[in-house]
Amino acid sequence: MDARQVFEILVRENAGMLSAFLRAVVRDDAAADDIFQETFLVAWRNLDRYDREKPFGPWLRGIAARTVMAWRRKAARAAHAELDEAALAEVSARFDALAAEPGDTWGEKLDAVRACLGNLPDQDRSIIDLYYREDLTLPEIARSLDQSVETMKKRLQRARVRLAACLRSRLSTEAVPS
Amino acid sequence: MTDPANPLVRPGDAGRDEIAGADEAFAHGCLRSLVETERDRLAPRITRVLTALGAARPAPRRIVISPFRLAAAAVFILALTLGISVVLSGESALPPAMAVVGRAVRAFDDVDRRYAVRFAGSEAGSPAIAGTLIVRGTRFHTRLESPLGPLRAGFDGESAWFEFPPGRIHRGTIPEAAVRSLGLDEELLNIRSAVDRMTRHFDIAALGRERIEDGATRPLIHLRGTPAADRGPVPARQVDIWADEATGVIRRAIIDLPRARQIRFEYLGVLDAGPDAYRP
Repeated sequence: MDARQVFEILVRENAGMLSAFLRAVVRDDAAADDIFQETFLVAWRNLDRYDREKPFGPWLRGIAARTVMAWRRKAARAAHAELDEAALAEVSARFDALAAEPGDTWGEKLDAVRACLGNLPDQDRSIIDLYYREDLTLPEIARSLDQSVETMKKRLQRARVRLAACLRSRLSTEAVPS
Repeated sequence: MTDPANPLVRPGDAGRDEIAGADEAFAHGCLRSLVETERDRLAPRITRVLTALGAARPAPRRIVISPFRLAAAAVFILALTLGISVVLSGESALPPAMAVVGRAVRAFDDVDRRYAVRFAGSEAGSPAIAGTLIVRGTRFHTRLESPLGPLRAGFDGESAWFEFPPGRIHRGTIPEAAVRSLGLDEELLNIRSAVDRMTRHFDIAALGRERIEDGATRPLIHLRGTPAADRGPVPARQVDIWADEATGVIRRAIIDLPRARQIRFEYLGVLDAGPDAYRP
């Protein structure tokens, strides 16, 4: 077995986590997909710098964070003021906490998210279902429910804040700054 | 696609706390990941990475990996190979019918959904009863215009109710007279109950992917349920449903009843009904 085959395992084991991290910090889906690929390629080229005594996920997220920042500079996106480096580190710390959850796969670690979703009020679950699972846009949801887009945006934000609060209480408080 | 609702932290935004922003962005990433994982959307992106690796400079040293991880890799690679075989052989394999039905039932849990309902005899000239149904979880409210006047039926989360003629409300159960004369029962008035019953009393088969003219943008899974010989009497002879594979939402259902009668449900969309909408 050569290095590429071994690296393939790391790709498969970390793809879900990396994708979630990039969805959290990059607004543009196409850019997130490109950065997803670029992150793994950079990791592959720099594998000799990887400290094998440490977990691979945080190292990969570090590469991803630098790639995100480089992408923003290159694309002159700074004006959009998305995430700065400190905020990226904050988000990354939450992924560390989720990675410490029981389970062998990323899908199993997401059970914590599923459990928190189950505890949300009906109205929060509804808006999350419509937006994330049914792929409806905010204007489509607003039309369906005969509400304003701004109302739907606030409702979605409120649902996510409640979900995040539940996740904070579930996940290791050592890894998530308060 | 740009995601306009991504709750990215915006340093300097008045009133936005960085910790809270990171929390919310984390929740957003997890929710997106949940959907990607459930729909297996990562596989093509992993393939793209692995293809690109072939053209990239190899890593300069070998790394050691445990036998357990090697075994996991073998399983992953086998799964990928099988997945590619299915893709190359044409249309992807149909999901298990019971899995689609289970997802369809769950799709009613968190949202108020509205359907057009039509009861009709299969023979030409038979009088039709038509109206609308709203449903969420076990709650439902059906309003029908019948040749005998309007009738309503529902379940408000505590008890079933039935109103016919207008103003005369029966609580607790749908009256036997209505069941006998109209051939209705609670499980036929409510699409969720009808589908739930499929899981217990019907043999279910996935017939294929089909498009129907209802505004759905994706092909739907067509399922057919026929009464199982050993699982007790049922009011329907056959149930056909067309469900969205990704969301589980039933876009159309047709229930064939004895004496050539039929109930047809067509999905109209979601609404924000509130609990009062399910009370008489």
